[in-house]
Amino acid sequence: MIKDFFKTLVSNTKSLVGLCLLGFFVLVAILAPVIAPYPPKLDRLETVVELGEPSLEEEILSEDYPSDARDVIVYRSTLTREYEKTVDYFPLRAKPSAAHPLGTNHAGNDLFSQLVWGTRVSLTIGLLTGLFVTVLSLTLALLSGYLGGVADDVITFVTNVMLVIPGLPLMIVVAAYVTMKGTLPIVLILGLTGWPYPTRLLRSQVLTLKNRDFVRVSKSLGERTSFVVFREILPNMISIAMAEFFATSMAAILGEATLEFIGLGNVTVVSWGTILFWAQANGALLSGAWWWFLPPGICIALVGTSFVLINFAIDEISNPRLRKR
Amino acid sequence: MGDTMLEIRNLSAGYATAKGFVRAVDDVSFSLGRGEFLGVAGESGCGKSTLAYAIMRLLRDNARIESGSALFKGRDLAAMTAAEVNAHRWTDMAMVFQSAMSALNPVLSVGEQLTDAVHAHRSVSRAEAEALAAEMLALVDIHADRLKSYPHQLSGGMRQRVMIAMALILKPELLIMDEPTTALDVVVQRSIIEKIEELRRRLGFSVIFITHDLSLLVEISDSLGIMYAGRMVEYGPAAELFNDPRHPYTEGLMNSFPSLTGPLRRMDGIEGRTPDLLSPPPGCRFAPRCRYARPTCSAGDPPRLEPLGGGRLSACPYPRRGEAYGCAPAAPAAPEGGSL
Repeated sequence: MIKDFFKTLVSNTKSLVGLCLLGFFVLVAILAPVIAPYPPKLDRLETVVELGEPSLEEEILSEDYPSDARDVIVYRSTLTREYEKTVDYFPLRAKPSAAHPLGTNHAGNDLFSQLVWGTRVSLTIGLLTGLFVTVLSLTLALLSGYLGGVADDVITFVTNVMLVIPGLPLMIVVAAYVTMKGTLPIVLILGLTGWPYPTRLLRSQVLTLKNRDFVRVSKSLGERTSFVVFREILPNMISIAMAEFFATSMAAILGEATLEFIGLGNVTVVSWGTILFWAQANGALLSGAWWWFLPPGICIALVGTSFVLINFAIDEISNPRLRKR
Repeated sequence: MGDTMLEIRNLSAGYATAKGFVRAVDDVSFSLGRGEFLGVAGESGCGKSTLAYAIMRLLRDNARIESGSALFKGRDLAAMTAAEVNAHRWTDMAMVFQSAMSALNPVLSVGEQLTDAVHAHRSVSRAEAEALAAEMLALVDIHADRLKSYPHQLSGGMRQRVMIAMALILKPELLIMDEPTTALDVVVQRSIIEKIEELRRRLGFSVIFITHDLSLLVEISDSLGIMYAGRMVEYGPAAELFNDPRHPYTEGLMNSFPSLTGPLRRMDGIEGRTPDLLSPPPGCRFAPRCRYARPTCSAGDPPRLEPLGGGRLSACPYPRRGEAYGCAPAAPAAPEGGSL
C-alpha cells in the first residue's frame, strides 16, 4: 500500500514536478543555516584583526626605568594580545550585488538570507495549519455526518455561524487578542478560523457515503461504528481530505503572509510575510525595488503550485478507478 | 423443502414521513420452507424491498416495523435486540443488494471486502479468511487472482457474483436477494440466476428473490408471492400461479410480458398508477385499476388472502376459477377509459 503510494506519486509527471518543488523548499528550510550567507537579522559585519603583542612605550624600555618594574611590564606584555575591531555596516536598501544577491532592506539585513530563513517559518506554519485543520475538520465532519442527531445540529450550527463571519476580519480580531509570540499562535489563529469550510465540504461527503449500499452491507454485517467509519467511509474520503490539506496549507501560507503584511503578525519573526510587510512599509513597491517584494511572492506562488501538482497524484492514489492498471 | 424456516405473520412496516406514516408493507403473511425458492414480484413501490429490509432488520432510520412477527426458526426477528440481530444477520441470513456497484466499496479490493465479512463474525486468521474468500469466489466462477482487483475492474455480472459470494461466505441458511439482476443485461441475468439455482441445490439454502421482472421468477421459483400496494395479493406454487392466475392483478402482470412459446397475443399491461400509500383507497387497493371491479370491492377493509386449496391463496373476493372470475368484467372500460 505505502509502496504503491510512492510509486504512483513518482510515476505521475505532474506530481513528480510538484514533489521536486516542495522537496526543494523543504530542503531550503532544513539547510537554511548552510545556504544563507548571513543570519537573517544581521545588519553589519564585525571583523576583528589581531595586532599581536602590545607595543611598549619607549620610556618603559629606557634604562632609567626601574628594572624590576620594567621586567614585570615586559613579561605582562608577552601574555596579552591586542586586537582591532572593524564594523562594516551593510548598506541600507542596496540593490542586488555580489555581496547581497537580493540586496538589503531598510535595516540593512541581507534579503536573500531573510528569504531562505523565512522559508522555514512559512512552510512550518503552512503545513502545521494544514494538518491541524484537516484533522479537526475530518473529525467534526465524521462526527456530525455519520452520527447525525444533536451532534450534527450543534456542529452544523457553529459551522454556519463561522461561515457567515468574513474570514479576514475574524482573523484580524482574533490575532489582535492573542498576545503570545511565535509560530504556534499563528497556527492556532489560522486553524481556528479556517476549519468551517473544509468541515462543511467533508460533512457533505460523509452524508453521501453513509447512505451508500456498501456502508449498509458493512452495518448489516454487524461491524462496529468505528470500523464502518474508518474502514469503509474514511478511505473514500482520502482524496478530498488530502485536497483539503493542501488547499488549507496554501491558504495558511497566504493567511500568514496577509496577517504579517498588515502588521498583525509578529513582525520580529522573519518570514515571507514579514519581508513583504517591511517592503510595503518602506515603499519598496513605489521605488520599484523588485528584489525586495518579488522573491517572497514568487516563493509563495511556487509552493502553491507544488501543492496543486501533488494533489493530482493524491487523487489518483486514493481513487483506484483513476489508477493506471 | 420440509420444515418451515421463516414464517412471516401479519407483518406491517413503513416509513414515517412529514406527511404521515407510509405503510409500505401491510399485513403480509407467508412462510418459507428450508431450501425453498420464493419469488416476490410486484411493480415499483409496492413494498417488496421494504419487506426484504424489514426481514433483514435493515430498515432506514425513518422506517420501522409496526406490527406482526417474522419467525426465523422460531425466533422472532422483529423482537430481537440490536445485538442479537448483529449476531444473527449474515450468519443465518444474508442479503444481496440491488446494485453491486454501490454495494461494493470502491476503494477496497474484492479480497479485503470478502475477508472483512468473515472477520466480522468469525475469529479466524487472515490466511484462513483469505482461503475462504478464494473458495467462495471459485464457487461463483471467479478466479482467485481477482481477490486483488478493485470493484471497477470487474464487469457488472462479476460484481454481482462477488456480492453473492460475499452473502454466502458465512454459509447462511436464507438468502434474500433484492433485485440482484435489475442492472444487468438479460444474458448476464440468466447466468446469475442459473448460478444461484446451482448453488442453492448444492448448499441447500432458502432464497427470497425480489424482482419486478416476473418472467425471471416463473421458471426458478418454487412459490411466488405477488405484492401490490404493500399487500400480498396472491401466493402459490409458481407454475400454477403463472398458468392460472387467480387475482386480476396477477393476471395483469402475466399479460405484461410476452410468452416465448405460446401464440402471439396482444400485451395488455395494467391501466392507471399504483395508489398513494399515504392514503390508500378503501377496500381492495387494486379495485380502482381492476377491470372486474364491482362497487363492493371499493368499500370496507382490504380483502385478506384466502386459501383456494392446493396451497394457493388469493386476496380477490371473487377469485378467478377456470376461465372466469366470480364476476364478469364491468361494462367494458375500453371505450371510455382509453386503451385497455
